[in-house]
Amino acid sequence: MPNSSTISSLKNKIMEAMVNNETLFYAINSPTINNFENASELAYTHIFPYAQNPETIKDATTFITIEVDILEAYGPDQQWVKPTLIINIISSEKCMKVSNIPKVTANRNDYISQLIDNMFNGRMDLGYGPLTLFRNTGGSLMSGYLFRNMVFKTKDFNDSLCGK
Amino acid sequence: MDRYSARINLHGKTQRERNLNRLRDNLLNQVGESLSHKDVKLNGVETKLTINSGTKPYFKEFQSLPGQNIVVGDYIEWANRTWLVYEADCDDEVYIDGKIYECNYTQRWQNESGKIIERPSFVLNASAYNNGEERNKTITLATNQFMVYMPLDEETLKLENGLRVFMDYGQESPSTYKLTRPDKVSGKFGAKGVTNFIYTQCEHLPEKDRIDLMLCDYKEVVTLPPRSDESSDSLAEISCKSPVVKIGALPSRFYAIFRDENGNEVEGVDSVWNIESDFEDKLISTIDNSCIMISTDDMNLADEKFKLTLSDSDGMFEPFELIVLIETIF
Repeated sequence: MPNSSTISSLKNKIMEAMVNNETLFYAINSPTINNFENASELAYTHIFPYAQNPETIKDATTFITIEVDILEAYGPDQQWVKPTLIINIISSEKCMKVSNIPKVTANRNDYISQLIDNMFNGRMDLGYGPLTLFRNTGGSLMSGYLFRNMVFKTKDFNDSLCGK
Repeated sequence: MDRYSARINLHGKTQRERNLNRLRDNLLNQVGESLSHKDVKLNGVETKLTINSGTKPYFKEFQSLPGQNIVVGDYIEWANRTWLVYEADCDDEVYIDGKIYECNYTQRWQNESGKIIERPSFVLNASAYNNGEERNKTITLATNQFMVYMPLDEETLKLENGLRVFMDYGQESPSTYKLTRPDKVSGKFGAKGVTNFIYTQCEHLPEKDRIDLMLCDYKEVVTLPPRSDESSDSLAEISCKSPVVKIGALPSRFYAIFRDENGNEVEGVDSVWNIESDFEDKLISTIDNSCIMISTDDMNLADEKFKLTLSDSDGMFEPFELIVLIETIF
């Protein structure tokens, strides 16, 4: 998937996988979407294929942003690139305790990052080579909101090998 | 001469006193003819008050009748509305003048025992010149602010930072606010006073807030069923802070209480404790007289429950059963 097409294709595959994952659905614990049958409504309300939640938040909530960057080409003739998948898990501090799922002792952001790691780390179908987790760090985004930042990397062709 | 002095002093011993009393009498005699003289309720008691126009329709100025006591923080009901006394002159020699604000929202919250408290309040927007949002590159939060005036009383004096309330006339998705500036000092004058609270918009918590009751962080008030008059049984009871054991925390304490048929506590009864569960071996319990202390370190027991039963060794008291929840400290 050369010529930057990996940006949208990787986002779409990640988003699709997230929306169809029942465990992740309950981990996000949407205040408005309560039934897994309606999980597709998480797209653009709780899972965003860009690095921002555009809505003004009134309900204490958890959401995920997905971004893909291509930072640098490498190899002979700059033949390869390393698409970098950046997933941010952002939760209100009011949502951090996972009280809606029995037996979960991790906080919500840590728990979701664990689920996402299990879903994608090492996957071979999301690039030319494995999608590998490089970083999983946490912090405070602003007063009352906490994040976990996950960075995955894979490998892709820079330019199409076929004639244009 | 004595009759002359008595007549002179009838309305006061000094010229000042006589002038003062004459002014009071004139006011009392003439005030009923004034169009500003209104029938009101002062703190629920019917009375009369002179109410004049203020700078806005919802601000009014008032003058009391001579001898009528009005202080900051009193409520006045007039014109089918509730008004809050915001200013009242402490010089009450002739009358008290001051200002009243029309209450435009009734605050509603639960006190520490779960009782629902309501107070009519005067609410001003405290973020008039900003857009009511706080944003960074990723997230936008609503941060409107309200200034709230209510009487300073035994309930409002208890309010602290963090109290969350609904403040919205919209019923579909009412906005929630958090008390961020509980100023109970700057509006206190004389015996009472008014709050000068700032509430900042915060997030709605669907799992804790009850829109139908317009109560945030709703606390279910658990009331034990009243003891039947016909029941003459002696009873055992378990007293505890909350029926919860926290994994990895200090032991939770449960106390035995035995009561006779009149409800009086009976001393010296031998307690018999019983824990009923599939994981009793993973619970650590220690009995010290009438107290049982229970703890556990096993994370796998999170969200499990067990039954704790209290009885007495002679079988004289009706046993008491309590369901105890095991939670994590996280």
